[in-house]
Amino acid sequence: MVDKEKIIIEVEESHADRQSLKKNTRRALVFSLGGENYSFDISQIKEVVRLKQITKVPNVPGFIVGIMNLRGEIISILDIRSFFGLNNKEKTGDMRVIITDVTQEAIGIMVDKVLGTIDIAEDEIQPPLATLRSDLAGYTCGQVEIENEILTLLDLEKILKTDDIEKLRKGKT
Amino acid sequence: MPFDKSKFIERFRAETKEHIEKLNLGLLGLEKSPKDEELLNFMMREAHTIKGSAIMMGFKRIAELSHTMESGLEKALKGDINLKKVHFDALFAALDLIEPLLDDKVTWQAKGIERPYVESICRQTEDAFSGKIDKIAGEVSAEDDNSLSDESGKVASQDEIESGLKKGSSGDKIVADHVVVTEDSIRVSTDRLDKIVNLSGELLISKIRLNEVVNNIKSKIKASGEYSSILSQVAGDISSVNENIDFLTTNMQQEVIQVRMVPVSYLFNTFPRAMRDLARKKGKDINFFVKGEDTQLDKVIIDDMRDPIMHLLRNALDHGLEAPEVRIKNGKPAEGNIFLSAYQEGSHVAIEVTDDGKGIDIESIKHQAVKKGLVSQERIDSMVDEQIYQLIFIPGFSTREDVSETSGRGVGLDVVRESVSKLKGMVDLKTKKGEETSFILKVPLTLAITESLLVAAGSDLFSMPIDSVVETIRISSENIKKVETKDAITVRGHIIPLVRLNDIFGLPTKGIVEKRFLPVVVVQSAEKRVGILVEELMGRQEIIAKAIGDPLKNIANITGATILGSGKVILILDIPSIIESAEGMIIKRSQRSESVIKTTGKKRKTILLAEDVLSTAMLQKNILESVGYSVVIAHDGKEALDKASQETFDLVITDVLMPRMDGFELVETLRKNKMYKDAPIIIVTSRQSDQDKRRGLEAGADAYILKSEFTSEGLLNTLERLMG
Repeated sequence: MVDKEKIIIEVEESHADRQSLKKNTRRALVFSLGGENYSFDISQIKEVVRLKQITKVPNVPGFIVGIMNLRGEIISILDIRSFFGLNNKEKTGDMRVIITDVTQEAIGIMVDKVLGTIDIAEDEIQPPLATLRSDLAGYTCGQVEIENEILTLLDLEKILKTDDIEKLRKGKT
Repeated sequence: MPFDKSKFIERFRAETKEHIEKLNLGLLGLEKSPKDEELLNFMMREAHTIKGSAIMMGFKRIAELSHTMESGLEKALKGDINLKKVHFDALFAALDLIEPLLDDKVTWQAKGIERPYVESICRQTEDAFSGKIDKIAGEVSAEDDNSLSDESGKVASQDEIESGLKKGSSGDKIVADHVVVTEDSIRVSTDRLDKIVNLSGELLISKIRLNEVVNNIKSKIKASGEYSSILSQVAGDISSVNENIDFLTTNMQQEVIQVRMVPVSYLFNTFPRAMRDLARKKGKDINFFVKGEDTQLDKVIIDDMRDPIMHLLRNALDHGLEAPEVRIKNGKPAEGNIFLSAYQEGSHVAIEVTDDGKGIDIESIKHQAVKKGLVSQERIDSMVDEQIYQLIFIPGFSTREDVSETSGRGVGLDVVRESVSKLKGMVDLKTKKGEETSFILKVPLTLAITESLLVAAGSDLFSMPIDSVVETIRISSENIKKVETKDAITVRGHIIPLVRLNDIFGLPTKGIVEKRFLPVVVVQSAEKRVGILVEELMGRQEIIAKAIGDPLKNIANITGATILGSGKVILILDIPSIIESAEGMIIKRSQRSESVIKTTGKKRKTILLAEDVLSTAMLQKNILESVGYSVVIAHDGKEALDKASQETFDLVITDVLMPRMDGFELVETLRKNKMYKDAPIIIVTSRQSDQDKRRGLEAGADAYILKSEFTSEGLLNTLERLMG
């Protein structure tokens, strides 16, 4: 089923567009999760799709939402809220699945809402603040201040290689 | 002319491997008829082709090796020499070196095939063909590197190679001709094929949506009440286009799946050479026959069959065939025969490995199995031969120490069975003491499509591969017995463990009313059986099995998932691992089974009831269940047929007037099925004309009962009488 909604990120941007980006800039996808805003580097993302019918998988940890059909492929959907100590979860029509392009196979990450993309100059990126919640610090590659608000840049690679997920990969327990 | 080689290297490797395979087969043929000119010509062309492309791609050593082979073969063709063992050994040695040289430099350096070694092999070949040597020293392999690498030999000079290149123009023509006769094909990665299979599946799902849209339009036009010829015509057009798409998508999916099929010759062709070498090493003389190479099989399956087949072939040679002296003493020819054959059997392909050796003694299997404590003496006495043969596939049946005596088979049959059952296949053994042994591997034609049984539990659907399903039965809760704190049931006199799907997966139980009869799917893997209690049986369906994406690849009790026609994703159960976790008490229980059998009552008779009016159906079901029968309802004749094929019923009761298929037709069709040829069938109807009665009995019904008489003593007596 091809998602009718226009895919929000145009990964296949025109060449000219890409060149117009300043050399030391990275583009990030901003989304909200548990009432807070986060972002992923766009190079780690394949696409964003609507949350469709999910099939639950029994006997798996709580952060696994289930599996979904993405154009004939079966992909796993993760809810990474618990990694950051977030829990307020409410289902809305705005929910999206961010399809990753980090590990060999695509994985879906469920988010509450996708807000859009933003270009961030490398030199504006600051190391994670010491005040950052410790459960979040391990998944962060930096943060940036935008209009007086702190936006956390998450590192998808670190998230997808946490012990809990690695344990699941080995499986059969 | 400089060009980017990297794009072509992969193809070069793959093509060269094919040429190597042809040369291998050719050499084996030449050993039998060394003067076959046509074959010699063919082989020279093959060697020449390798040389030409190796020069182009910069694989100098391969070029040198193939050059020496080509010149050697040329001498033989001209009649300068007669091909003898020394020549074949030299050619095989040279050929064997080409494949490892296809790897990158690091790899072949690690294998010790440095330049001096390659040169020594080239020289050895030249020497063999110029008559300088008449024997190849020892088994030539990369390990002998040290003894050979010190000698510095003559290399095929750059000139010679260059001249080989110049000859290329005439050579090319031969190559081109050759390509035409072999196969008109291209290489496609299986990944890519899977994507196409996926997309064609998605197309099918979208198509089902389209059907809904078309029906929607039609009903809206109807409901609007306005007669509009234009609208109706448009709807009709859409509808006919839709039917066409229907046909096309179904065809396309079948075609796409066909693409994965390749002839087994792809694998079989690699065995003759391996068997020749092996036989030489073991000092046995054999004839090796290959049959049915054209049989088509899923490429993915073929790849995974290589090891199990090789294992069985090696076993046949090692343990199956007697030593030549013994054979002669027993009145057999000294040369042993080993047959490898493939043939299609319905939706499966059977691959047989047969030897005319000493056979396997069933008594020694029994002895061994009991000695190892795998089964009890009582149990084994009650087993039929087929069951006993299956014992040799159990892990731990044969160990290294008793390879020679006991069954006469080596270790590793459990591994063979395991790898075959991973492909949803099975292994059988047929043997005649003193005469022959056949191992028969049966695997499905394709892994892409699996026939499966859909079941429901905890408001979810699950799929079970049909080849692990033995039968489906209905039990009542009082049939469930406790054996060592675990649940078990008796099926056809055997005690099997009973597990609840809801428990395995921690699913909520839909517990509104405790059902009287619980559906149980009896599944089997290896020789172990387990009953899986589910909430509902949803029927058979062909599914396309898919792997679940990272990180859920290895979750317990699940092998993958599939997408139903509706777009819904459902999980596929891993039956072997469910059985594995349910058992652990199977062997222990075999000693206790006697006492338990006595406590369980006789099996409830099952009735299939075909009736389209639900209230009537429920009424009849209640009456029948009140006197102890287990009843399954089908809502029309077609559904009844489906259900009858999933489960064997003791008796069928059918109405006459039903949608899709009426009762008469149902009876006629059932009678053609050998399972229902003699099963009692009763027609229950309100049509009381003599003509209808006659028609019913002609169709093959045993009794014709009017609905008004349904509760009477007469009906129950009839049932009793018919079911014995």
